[in-house]
Amino acid sequence: MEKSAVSEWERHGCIGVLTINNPPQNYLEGFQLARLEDLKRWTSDVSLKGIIITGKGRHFCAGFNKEDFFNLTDRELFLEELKKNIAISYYIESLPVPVVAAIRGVCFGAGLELALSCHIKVCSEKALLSFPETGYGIIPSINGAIRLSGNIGDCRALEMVLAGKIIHADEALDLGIVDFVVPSKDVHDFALTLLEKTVAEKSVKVISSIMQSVNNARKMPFETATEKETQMCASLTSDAILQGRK
Amino acid sequence: MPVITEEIRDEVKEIVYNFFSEECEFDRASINGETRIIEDLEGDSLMFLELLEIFKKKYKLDVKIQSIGQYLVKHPAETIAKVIDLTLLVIEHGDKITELD
Repeated sequence: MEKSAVSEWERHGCIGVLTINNPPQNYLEGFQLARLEDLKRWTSDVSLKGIIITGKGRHFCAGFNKEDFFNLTDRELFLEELKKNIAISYYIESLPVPVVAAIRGVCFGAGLELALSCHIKVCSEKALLSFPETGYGIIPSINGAIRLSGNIGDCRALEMVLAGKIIHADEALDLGIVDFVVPSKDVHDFALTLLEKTVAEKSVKVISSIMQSVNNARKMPFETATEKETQMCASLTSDAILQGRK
Repeated sequence: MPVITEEIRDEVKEIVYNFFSEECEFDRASINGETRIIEDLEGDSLMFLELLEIFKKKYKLDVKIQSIGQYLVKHPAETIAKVIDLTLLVIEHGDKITELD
């Protein structure tokens, strides 16, 4: 097991598990989930086929520690810290393997932003999701409102972010913020089984091509994304022919 | 806001006991009114928030977390009995809980 900031990394076969280990609330103390260079090192293993991000104990993550947020009075340093987190969120969403957020208990603020940067969200039936920032006179800082409005539309996102509304798991599922709701005790196993079923038998190249296609769909014009997908398909087809697979 | 009846009181008690028993993986029979949430059950400060959400849904309460927070500063709810009392006050008074001494 390796550690970086509040996170721990371990492998379960082809699946990597990143655990936010700062219980009970799992605050992102010192503004950091993990150092980006550690995250890059952990995820650069070519045998890696999927990642689960989870929280140690009862909660996923209650976000940044409020003290950290308001005690850092140097504006430049503050922006630097936020940019590090934004870089992590971009890195996670652009990974060439699927990333599953396994959410139990509270998933607030930067914790929810982290979850929103994952490709798949599995949530316990008692989980609570919220952006409480406006209650402190601030706003989400790691593209949370942007991702949320992209996911559920401006109206619902505004209601949730402006009012600091707490969303229950069933509502989060209805809104499309999370993808699966399961009993609390099953969250980790469900996420692991889901990933294993999805990726275990697939080649790393197939997985990374699909992930690239999905990511391109978000970032590129439709025609460009289609062209890239066609090229990847042609490359995979050549590989399959060379390997004698039809 | 509903008037607190014996039925509501029993219901709240039942939900609170079950919640802490399940979430803290503690035998329900070993929990009593004097059981301390953090020290005895290894619970945490976010648990009351989770519990409150259950009651908000159940009794259709419209109450701000900040109001409860304000009340809790003066009247910490460290034990199961105090959590039950606080919950009943929230159900009965909503945001006006801050006006109680």
